[in-house]
Amino acid sequence: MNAVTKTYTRGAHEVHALRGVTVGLPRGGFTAVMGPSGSGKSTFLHCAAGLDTPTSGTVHLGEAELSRMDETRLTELRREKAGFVFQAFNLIPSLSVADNITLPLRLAGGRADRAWLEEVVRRVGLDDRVAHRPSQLSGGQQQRVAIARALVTRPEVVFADEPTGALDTTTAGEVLALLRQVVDATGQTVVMVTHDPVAAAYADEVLFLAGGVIVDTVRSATADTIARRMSALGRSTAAV
Amino acid sequence: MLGLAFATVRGRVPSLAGSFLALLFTAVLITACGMLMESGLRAQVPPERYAAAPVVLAGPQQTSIAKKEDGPVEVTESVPLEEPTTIPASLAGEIRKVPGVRDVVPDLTFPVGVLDGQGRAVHGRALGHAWESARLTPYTLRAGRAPASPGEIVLDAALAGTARLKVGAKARVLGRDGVRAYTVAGIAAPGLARQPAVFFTAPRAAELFGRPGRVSAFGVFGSGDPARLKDRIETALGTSEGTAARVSVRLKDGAPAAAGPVAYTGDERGLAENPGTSAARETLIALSGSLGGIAVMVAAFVVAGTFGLALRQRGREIALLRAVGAAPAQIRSMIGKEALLIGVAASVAGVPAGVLTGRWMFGELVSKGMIPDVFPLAAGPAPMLAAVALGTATAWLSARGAVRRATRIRPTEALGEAAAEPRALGRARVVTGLVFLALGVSVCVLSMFVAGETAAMSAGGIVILLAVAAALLGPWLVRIAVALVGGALGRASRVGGYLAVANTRTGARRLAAVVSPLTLMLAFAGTTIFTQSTVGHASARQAADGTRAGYVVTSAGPGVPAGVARAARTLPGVAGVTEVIDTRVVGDLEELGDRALRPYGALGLTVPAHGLDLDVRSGSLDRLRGAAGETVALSTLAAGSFGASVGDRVRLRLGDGTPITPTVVAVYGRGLGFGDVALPYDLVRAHTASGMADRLLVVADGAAAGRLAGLSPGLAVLDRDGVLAARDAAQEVNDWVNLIALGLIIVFIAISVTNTLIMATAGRVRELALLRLVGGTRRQVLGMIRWEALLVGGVALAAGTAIAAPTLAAISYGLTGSAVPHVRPAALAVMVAVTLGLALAGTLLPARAALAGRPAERIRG
Repeated sequence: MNAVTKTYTRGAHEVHALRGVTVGLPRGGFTAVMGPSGSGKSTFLHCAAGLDTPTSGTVHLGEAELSRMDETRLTELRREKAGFVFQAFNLIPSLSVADNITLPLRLAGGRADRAWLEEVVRRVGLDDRVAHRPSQLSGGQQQRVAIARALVTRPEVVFADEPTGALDTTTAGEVLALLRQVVDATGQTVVMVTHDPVAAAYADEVLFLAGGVIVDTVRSATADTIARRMSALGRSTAAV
Repeated sequence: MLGLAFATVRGRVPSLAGSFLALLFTAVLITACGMLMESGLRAQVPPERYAAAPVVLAGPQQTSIAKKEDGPVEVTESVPLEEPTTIPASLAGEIRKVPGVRDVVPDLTFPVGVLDGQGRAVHGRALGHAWESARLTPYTLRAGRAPASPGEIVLDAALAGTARLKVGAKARVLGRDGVRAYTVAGIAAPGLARQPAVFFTAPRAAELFGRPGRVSAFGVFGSGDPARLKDRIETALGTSEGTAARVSVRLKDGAPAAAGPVAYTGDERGLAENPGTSAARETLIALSGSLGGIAVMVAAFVVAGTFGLALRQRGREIALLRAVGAAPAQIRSMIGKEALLIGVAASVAGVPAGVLTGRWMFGELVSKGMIPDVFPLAAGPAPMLAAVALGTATAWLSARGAVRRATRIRPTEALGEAAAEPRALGRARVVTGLVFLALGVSVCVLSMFVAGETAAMSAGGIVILLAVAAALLGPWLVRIAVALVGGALGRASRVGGYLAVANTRTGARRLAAVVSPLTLMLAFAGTTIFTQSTVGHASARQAADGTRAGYVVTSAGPGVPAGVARAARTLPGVAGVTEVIDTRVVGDLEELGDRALRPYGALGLTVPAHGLDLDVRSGSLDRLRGAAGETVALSTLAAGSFGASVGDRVRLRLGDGTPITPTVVAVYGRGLGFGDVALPYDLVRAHTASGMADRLLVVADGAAAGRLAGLSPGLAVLDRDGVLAARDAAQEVNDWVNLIALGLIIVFIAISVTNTLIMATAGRVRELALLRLVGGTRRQVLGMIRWEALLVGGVALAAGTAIAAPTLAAISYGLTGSAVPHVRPAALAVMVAVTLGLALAGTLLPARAALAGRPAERIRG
């Protein structure tokens, strides 16, 4: 990501969500992005994942340059190179677990590799649930299905936007451990936006965003350290 | 809770817009129908011809039977009469004896045609009277003098103006005994544009009236309050009441409902002048009643659907309200009040458009000649109040189901996500649906076995029963359809089709909410349009097959005089002439064990019939003779309704209400083309106003055609093709009423279907956003939506056809004897296109809107 800015025009006001962010996210790493509300962390994720195009600057995903692509090309790129996990409403209610997981392959016009599907399902621990519908699963199980779907295309990066926001502490821990395990076992790259220091503590690296710029970076920190940094950040931004 | 209801209504404008629009349209229709009905019920025609007479005594405009004679109340059924009625001249003596009566003036009214020098009609339907009755208006001489000899007339000033006739000029008038030349002795004012008068001397008027011992009406002059005078006359004569109601109930007062004369005073006198008003009033009441009824029914159907859907989409909101402490009763009250608010707002908003629609419909009815232009459109507040009251009640009642469901929502559901709808249908719904299905099917099967017209009349019932069944069992229909085509569709379209099938399978109930109104629309439109085309096609064919005459002679005036037929028969090259009068009679028959009146199209004809083949199945038309009502021929349809065959006697009322019990001498097949009852010419002639033939059917060679027109001034000669073309044009006017009703209902259903679809699709913003995020292109998502729409349209087409086809078969079999209805391919194609078009437009447009913007933002809800 190079000198990325993003400006929204909301009515008469211009909102500078990102003001020149330059950062490289290491392949095979688990990066958490933190920051107070309005710091630009969601915009950061959207730009990095090709869900949104930056106002200026360039974004590379692997070898691909995202910022000049049209929407169809971006969609195809996302399909191949990115996986997504959201806070809620991750699954199509009318499809079974297996069908939800293979949906990106189907949309790409391909077929599921059975062995890989079984591997993914086993890895997220849903072997006995593949025929269920989302409504028959718990919140944590639904998030695990979403992670399996994000992995099934063997993407370059998995983007997670507050994946544990709607879960209780224990379930959230299980989901985060799963993400951690994905990174460690397969060398998958994961970028996660969160406001929860405990969640961020599972990451290799934590980026702190405030006012549209990266203000701080810590590596392999504990939840306590991250929480202190966060509250310091909160005070400093409040003081500005 | 009213405040909360207000707040939620404000926040839910899009999802409640459907209910609002449906109710608004209901209010428009109810207001319009109410105006027509009020006009029919309270029709007031300002008197013109009888304006000077305080009380007018005339014949009844309808014929009645007592349906129920035992018990304390008397139920009578009435049918309006086609021909003007007469009353005995001898009543004059009795009226004179009534205290307060100063003078009694008889009036004879008979149609005449005023022709110009070339034999063209100046006025084809002027009214002849005796000069002695001029004072009923009063007409006063503006120029000249009263007629003194049979060859002299006094003309209405308006008529004299149009005909450019002055005192002393020669005028040609077509009457019962032919076209005669008269001298204009005088011109009298005022000129009545709607009923221009031609006055003759009393003896000459009596000749032209042609019914000795009878008069059209008495004008009664007397002192004091006309209403009191009327009461005294009624008491003295035992008169009957004038009514426009088809069925009336009154307390028995000893005397049976008399078929005697009716006394009119005030504005009612206008009704006595215009014998057609009774029929027009009934037309208005029947039309507005059925249209309004259908509107309310469809509104209930649609509003219940949209409320249910809106509520399903608000499940979480309601669960949340429950979670923060709202009791079920409070939720119930909130939804109920929302319904009331929307009902009142929509109804009030619909009233002004309803007034305009009512005016437009009334204008169309008048311009198409369905009702005479004699009476004005009523403009009281009653229809508007009724629209608001009925609209609000419909909204409230149709929301009941949704209200019940709402209270079943548990607070915990606020926390659930992606709640799939329950798979099983409620047992009550299934049982009710199956009962309706069984009823519909059995009525349909039954109607195949009962006599013609009853079968045809059961059609509406079949459609409604089956449409309700389809609505209740809709989710099953959707699942069956998916089971049938789902696999193939999923393979044919790996992304769009596959996803559409999955969504349809699990969202069967949501889709059924869209399928049911589409099905109703198709079934209704299909049955109406194709019943019409089947009957129209059959009657046009019967008319074409049965019309064997090379030429048909008609008149520019009220009829073809008897002398023309006599002369035509003697022309060289003419092989045969049949005189025909078209009229309507009323059958007095047993219907499902109950005595009932049923109007029939009838014709009086001379025998042996030339140029006309009614396709006689049994008996012979040659025995159709006698002027006293001894014989009749019936179509197979009418014979079926009467349960009569050759040799049986049937009870009929002639056009002027005279009861006869003739013997059936023939049963014929071409009733749709020519009329269901055939009577001897002389009998019909004696009971119609003009006493002349409406047309002469002439079998002749080409050379005779030119001579036919020269037999008398004012004749028109059409060849066979011209006759059939004129017949088709008349048929179109008849179809118009049905089509306008259908058109309004289709607009109604289209609004609601579109709205339901928009709501259903708009509720899926997050689902569509998710599909985009996991890698679906816009095209793929729209492809899925398109397949879903086509599935919905396809199920509706299949269900609509499944309802309309057996109904149409039953009607067709009953009316034409063939179970294959006449389906116009173009109309069918339009219906299919409209159904699929609605389904596609209603889903794709909102889906496009839902796909706009960044999917990552839309998914946050």
